[in-house]
Amino acid sequence: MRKVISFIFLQVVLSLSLSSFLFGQQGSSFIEFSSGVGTTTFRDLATSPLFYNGASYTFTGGLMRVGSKTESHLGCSYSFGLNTNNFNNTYKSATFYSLDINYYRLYRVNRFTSGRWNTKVGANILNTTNIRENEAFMNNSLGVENILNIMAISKVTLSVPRVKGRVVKILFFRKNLKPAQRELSFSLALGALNLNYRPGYAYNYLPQITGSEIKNFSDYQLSVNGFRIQSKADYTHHLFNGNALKLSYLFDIYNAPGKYEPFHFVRHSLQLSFLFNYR
Amino acid sequence: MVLASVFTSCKDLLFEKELASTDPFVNFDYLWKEVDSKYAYFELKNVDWDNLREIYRKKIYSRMSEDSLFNVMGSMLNELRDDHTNLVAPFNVSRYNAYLKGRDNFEYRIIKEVYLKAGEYTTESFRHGPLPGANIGYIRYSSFMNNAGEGALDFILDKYKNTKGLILDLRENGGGNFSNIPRILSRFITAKTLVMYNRTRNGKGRNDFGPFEPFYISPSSRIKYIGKPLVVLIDRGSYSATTFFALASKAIPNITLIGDKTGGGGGLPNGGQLPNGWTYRFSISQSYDLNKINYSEDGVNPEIFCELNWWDLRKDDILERAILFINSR
Repeated sequence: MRKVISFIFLQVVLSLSLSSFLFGQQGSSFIEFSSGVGTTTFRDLATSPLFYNGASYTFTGGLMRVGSKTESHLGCSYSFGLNTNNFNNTYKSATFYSLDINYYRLYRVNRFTSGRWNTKVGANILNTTNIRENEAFMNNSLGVENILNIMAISKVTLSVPRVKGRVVKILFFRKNLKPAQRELSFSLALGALNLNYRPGYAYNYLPQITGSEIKNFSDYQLSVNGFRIQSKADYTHHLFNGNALKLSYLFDIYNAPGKYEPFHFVRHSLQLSFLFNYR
Repeated sequence: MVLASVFTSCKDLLFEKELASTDPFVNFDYLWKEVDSKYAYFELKNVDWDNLREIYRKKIYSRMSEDSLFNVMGSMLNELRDDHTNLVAPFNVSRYNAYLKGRDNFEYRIIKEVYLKAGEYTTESFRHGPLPGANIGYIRYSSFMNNAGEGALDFILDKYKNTKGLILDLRENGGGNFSNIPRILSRFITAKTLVMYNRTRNGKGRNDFGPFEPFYISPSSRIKYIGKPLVVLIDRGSYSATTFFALASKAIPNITLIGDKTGGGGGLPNGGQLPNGWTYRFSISQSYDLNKINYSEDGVNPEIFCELNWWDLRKDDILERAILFINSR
């Protein structure tokens, strides 16, 4: 566990150091706070052939720089939930915690950019650490894996500004909608280099022990295999003061085969973000 | 909604097919293969796992009830003669019951009525008291699932610091948390001590194991009990972590095991789930003594064998033998 925590801490420190490099660019800078709900499905074939499904809750914080030519994002996401399987009336549950740290940088592709359309491509580095607990698996109750993906990412943005104000009437509700800048965007990221850190052959392992000091994760293996696909659809509404609200649908799917049995994961998440413009 | 629908179908396209199944053959084969690929004691227990597959698979048929399927698979697992091997269904749990293979050698009522009638202490997970007229401390630790607290050990060892010996009663201690082993043993050594080796299955071959991993006990910085005998009482109900404790004790000179051999459980159990949702576990590692001999899974023998005489419950023969041993030192 100490190794996992040290690795996560290193990721956070590296990401924060990247942030200064991130913001030597032109465009608007935002601090992003978001929360979301969704569903997750996972299966760890090392311990069970069954899929576990459940609701998940996500909290994200990040720094974002958006311009016409470039876009950068540095973010950290914490998700948790309770996943269950009740096949054949054998109800089993697993708590699930996940920490994602990601950084992407995009550059405009002029050939596919014109008028209200803006197309960008670039790279995304995404690190995910999962901790799962399923008491029904007794000595194998704790599941931990770390997945690192370097992904190719493309993003298409359509500007749909409300040029003129208008009045909306629904029953007794009346709202004056002011002119506003709005955007619809869709991004797709595909894993180009996928690394995962998964348990060894027998999943559980008796390592060297010295007193009460047990070398956990000593049997874990680093593998370069698997895939990851992440896509996101956003509706961003810019406010008069430069801030923005964003509604997003996120889809994330990955397969971490490891050296022995794979870990499968899918998430659908609806997220609401507040973008605080500070520059 | 459209996007969610499209992406939901990705899971079916990109992952291996759904493996959930109540088919008896599917579940039998899954369990047999899991045990075949990871169980650690086929050779020691002289188990012909291929032959057992032939025997038990003939008892499987498509429309059999879950209860019948459970009985067949549970019986097959019991052929491993291993209490770390269980099949768990919502309606039943299969057990080998190693302790039933030997005599019952423990009745705590005798201890309370005859030896601790002046009163016993309950200090966290330990029950203890001085043995009358013997200047020996008696400590009962009934389960390694209970925390062997450092404060409790300090109190106990300080209380009996002037005794000529201690008796630690681990009879019918079914095991539990491994970390309690070094916590207790560290109080009886003065130098870092190698006590055993362990190795874990690491390949599909039944003799594929990883390297020998050493297990060291480091001396505690707190109150210790040194230079005087510690007698550990064991029997067939001493299992799992207690077997590890007994094996480790063999490497510590002032510790003597008295009673009947332990029930076994010298392997680390794993855990998993079948396609029908039932869960299972079995041993995936082996433990070895300092000469790299693997026997603890079948039980650790005491230095002095002794059994309880059920015809005379006015005394505990095993405890009496331990007192005699300490007095002879």
